[in-house]
Amino acid sequence: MANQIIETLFLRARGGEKSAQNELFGALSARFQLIAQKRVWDNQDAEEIAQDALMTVFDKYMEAQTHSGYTAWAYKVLSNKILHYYRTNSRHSEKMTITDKIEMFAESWTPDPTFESKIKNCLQKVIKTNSRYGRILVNCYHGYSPDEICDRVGLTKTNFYSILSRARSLLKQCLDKENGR
Amino acid sequence: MSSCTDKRFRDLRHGYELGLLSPEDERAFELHMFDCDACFEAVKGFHSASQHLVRSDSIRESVAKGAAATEEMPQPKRRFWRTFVPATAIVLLMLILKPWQIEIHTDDEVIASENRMVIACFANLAEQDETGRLGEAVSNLLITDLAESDYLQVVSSQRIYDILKGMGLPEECQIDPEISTEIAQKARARWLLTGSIIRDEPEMVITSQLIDMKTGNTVATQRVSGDSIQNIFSLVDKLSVEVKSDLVLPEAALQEPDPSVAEVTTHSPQAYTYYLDGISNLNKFYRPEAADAFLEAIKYDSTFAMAYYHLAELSDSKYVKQAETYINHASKKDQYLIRSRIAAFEGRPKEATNELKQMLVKFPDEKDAYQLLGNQYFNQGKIDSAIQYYLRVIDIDPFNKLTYNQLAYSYNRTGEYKKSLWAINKYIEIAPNEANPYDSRGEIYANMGLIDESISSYLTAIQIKPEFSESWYKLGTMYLYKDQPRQAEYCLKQALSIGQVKYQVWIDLLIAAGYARVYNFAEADKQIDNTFRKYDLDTLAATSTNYIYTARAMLLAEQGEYDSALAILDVANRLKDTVIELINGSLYTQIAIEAGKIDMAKREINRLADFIEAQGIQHQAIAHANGCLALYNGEYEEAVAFLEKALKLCSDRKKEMCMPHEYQLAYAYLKAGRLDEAIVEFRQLHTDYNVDRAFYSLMDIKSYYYLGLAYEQSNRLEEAAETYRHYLARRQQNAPNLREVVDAAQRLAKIEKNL
Repeated sequence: MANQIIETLFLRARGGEKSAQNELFGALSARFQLIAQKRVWDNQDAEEIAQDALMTVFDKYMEAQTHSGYTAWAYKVLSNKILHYYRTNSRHSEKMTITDKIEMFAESWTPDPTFESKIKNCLQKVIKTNSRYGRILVNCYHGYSPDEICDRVGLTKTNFYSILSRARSLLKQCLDKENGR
Repeated sequence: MSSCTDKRFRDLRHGYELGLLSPEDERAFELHMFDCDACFEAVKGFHSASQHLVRSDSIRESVAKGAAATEEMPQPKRRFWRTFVPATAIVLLMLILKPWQIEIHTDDEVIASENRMVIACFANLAEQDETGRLGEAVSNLLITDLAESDYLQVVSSQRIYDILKGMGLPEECQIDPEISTEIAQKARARWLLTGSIIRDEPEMVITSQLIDMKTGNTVATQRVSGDSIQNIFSLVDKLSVEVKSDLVLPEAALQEPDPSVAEVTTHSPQAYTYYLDGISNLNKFYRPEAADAFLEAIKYDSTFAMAYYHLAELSDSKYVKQAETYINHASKKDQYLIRSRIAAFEGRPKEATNELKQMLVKFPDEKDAYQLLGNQYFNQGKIDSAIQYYLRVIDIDPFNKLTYNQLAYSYNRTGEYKKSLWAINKYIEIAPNEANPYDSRGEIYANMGLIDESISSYLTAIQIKPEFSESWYKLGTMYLYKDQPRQAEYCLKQALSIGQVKYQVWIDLLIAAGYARVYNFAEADKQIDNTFRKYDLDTLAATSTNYIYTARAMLLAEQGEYDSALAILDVANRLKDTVIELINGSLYTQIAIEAGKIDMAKREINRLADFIEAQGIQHQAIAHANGCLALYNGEYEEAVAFLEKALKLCSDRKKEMCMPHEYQLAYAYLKAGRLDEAIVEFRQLHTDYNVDRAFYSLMDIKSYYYLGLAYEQSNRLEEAAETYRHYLARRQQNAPNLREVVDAAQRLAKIEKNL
C-alpha cells in the first residue's frame, strides 16, 4: 500500500511546520521534474513547467480546497500546466505525438555512447531470452498503441505489462552488472 | 529503499517509461509516484536508460535487428477463411464484367447482357460473428468462376456496395428485395445471386437463391455440400454449374470449357487467403504488406500466376517471368493483364497497351484495363490521355478510390490544381481511414508549394498508419525544404527503419542533403561517409552507387574542392552505365568550368559528344555541358539556347535529373539580363517541393541567392531583401565566409539601408 508521503507532508506543512514545507518542496520538485521531462521531452521547457507548477502549488496550497486530497490537486496543477504548454505551442494538438517525437529528435539530446553501447549489449541478451520484449519495443518504435501492440504480438494486456516488467528487471540487472554495481 | 507493494504499479513501470500507457493508466501511475517512493526512485533511477531506449536511433536499430533475429516465421494457424479480408477491399480488383465478343458473337452479346448478374456476399450463418469471412471468400470465388463463361456478365458485390452508398444507404451484405429493382437498374443487371453457408465443419453446405431483379422474385435455389472446408474450390465449381443451368442459357453455354476455379486461381486455400490479403493491402496502397502477403501466397503455391504478377510490380520485376510461366493458371481476364505487364517490363509499351485494349474488346466494362491504360499513358507523360481513361473508370465506378488518386496526380501535373484537390478529396471521402489518401494529398500540396499543408497531411497519414514509410520519407523531404535537417533526419530514418528498401541509399543521401542545404558541411560529410560505409559498393546497383559519388562530388565542389570532386566523378564513370556516363558527364563539365579548368571541360564535352553519337541517341547532357561552357565564355544567349534545349530533352521536369538544367537555365537568363524569365524559372523551383529534386538541395538553395540578384537587378528591392534573408537565415551562421553568403549579406545590408 502506498505510504502517502506527499499527502502527509501537505498536512504537516499546512499546519505550519517549516521542515515539512521544505521537505514537501523537495519531494514535489523532484516528481514534477520527472513527470514534466517525461511528457514534454524538451528538458528546458520541462524545467520551466515544473517550476511554474511548483510556484502555483506553493502560492495556493494553504487555501486549496480539495476532496480528493492535496496530492491529486498538486498533480492536477502540473497536468494543467503541461496541457497549457501544448495548447499554446502547437496548432495541431491532435498530431502532438508525432510532431513531438520529431521535435524531440531535433533537439540537442545526444546519447552517451558508452552507456548506449552497454544498453545495446544488455538489450540483445534480454531479447534473446524474451523475444516478445523485442517485438514490443519494435512496435513501440513504430508508434503503435499498447492495444495495437497486444493485438500484433498476440498478448493480453496483463501479459503485456508483465513481460515489460520482467524485461525491465533483467535489463536493469544487466546494466547494474555492466556498471559494476 | 523498500519495494512497491502494489504489483499492478510495479508492472506498469516500464510501460510508463516507454510511453506505452493509456492516458488513464499514465495518470494513475504518476499519481502513484507521489505516494510511492519505491516507484518514483525506480523510474528516476532508470530515467537515463529509458531516455536512451526511447530516443537513441542506434538502440532502435539494434533492437530491430535483435528482434528480427529471434522472431519466428509466422505460420498460419487459423482456419484459412478466418483471415479473409473485407469484401470491399477484396473485390475491388475482382470486379468482373463478363466478356462477350461484340463483333463475332452478337448472340452471345445479347445473351450475356440479358444475363448480367450481381453476386452479393454470402452470409455465413454457421459462424455468428462472421469473423472468418468465409461468405466473402465464397462470393469472390464464384465471381471468378462464373466470369469465365462467355454467356454471363458478373458484377461484383463491391459494385452493389458502391450503388448502395450512392443511394445514401448503408453498405450491407444482404440486399433488401424492396430496393432490388432500383439496384438492378443502376447495376444494369438482371439477376441477383445471394446465398448462405448454413453449416461448416465437418460438412459444409452452401445454399443460394437466384433472384430476378426486375420482379424481385426468386426463380431458382441451389444447394451444394461437401465434406470439408478444404474443398471450397470444388464446392464453388458445383454451385457455378447449378447456377448456370438455372439461367436460361443456350446449349453452347453448358458446353463451353468450364475450368475449375482452382485452375484459374490456386489449389491452395492458404495461398488464396494470402492472395486476397495482398489485394486488400494493395487497394490501400500498403505496398510492403501487400508484397509480404503475395510472397506468402507463392510459398503455398509456387504456380500462382497472379501472385507473381503483383509481385513483379511490388517487389522485383524478375517475378514477371514466373507469371508468364504459369499464365495458364490465371483467368482469361487476368491473362491479358499478365501479358500486358510482361510487354511493359520488356520495353514494349505499344504491345502492353494493345493487350489492354484487346482486353476491353472482350471485357468492355473492365475498369482495371482502363485504369492500367491510364497508368501507362501517365508514365509516358501523356497526361491528357491518361485523364480520359481515368474518367472512364469513374464513369463505370464512381467510388473507385485508386482512380481518384491517379486523377489527382494527373490534374496536378497539368496544373489543374482545383480539379486535383477535388479528386484527392473524393479519395479521402471514400477512404477516410486509410493513410494513402492523405499521403497523396501531402504530395499534391507540396507540388503546389503549400509546404505546411503538405506536412500536416503527411502527419495525418502517419497517424493513421505509423509504419507508412512513404509518408515518413516525404515528410522528411518537406523538413529538408524547410531547412530543418534534424527533423528531416528523424523522419527519413523512420522511413529507413520501417523498410523503404527500394530507396535506401537515396534516403540516406537525403539526410546528407538536408545538412548540405543549411551549409552544415561537416555533418553532411559525415552522413555521406556513413552511407559509403553502410553499403557494399561492389554489390550495390550502379545507379545507387552513382548517387553516392555524385552527392559527395557536389558537396566537395560547393566547398571549392574541385579536384577531389572531379576525381570522384572519374571513379563513378568506371561504373560503365550509359545513363550514368551522360548525367555525370554534364556534371563533370559544370564542375570543371566552375574550377576554371576549361581544357578539361572541353575534353569532357568532346567525349560526351562521341559517346552520344556512338550510342545513336539524343540526350540533354551535351546541351547542358555546352550551355555551361557558353556561360563561362560570356555567350549568354547561346547558353540560354543550349539550356532550353537540355530542358526540352529532359522528359519529365518533375524528375530529379532535370533539376540541374532548370537551375542552370534560370542562371543563364539572369546572366543574359532576361530578368523576368530568370525570376519565373527560379520561382518555379521554389514553389514545387518535389521529393525527387531534394537531392540537389545545394543547387536549390543557391537559387535563392540568384533569385535575390534577379530581383535586385529588376529593382524589386523588397523582394530581393526577403529572398536574401531567406537564403542567409540558416546558412550565414554555418558558412559565413562562403562567397555567396558574404555577397548576399552585403547586398542585404545595402538594400536595408536604402529601403
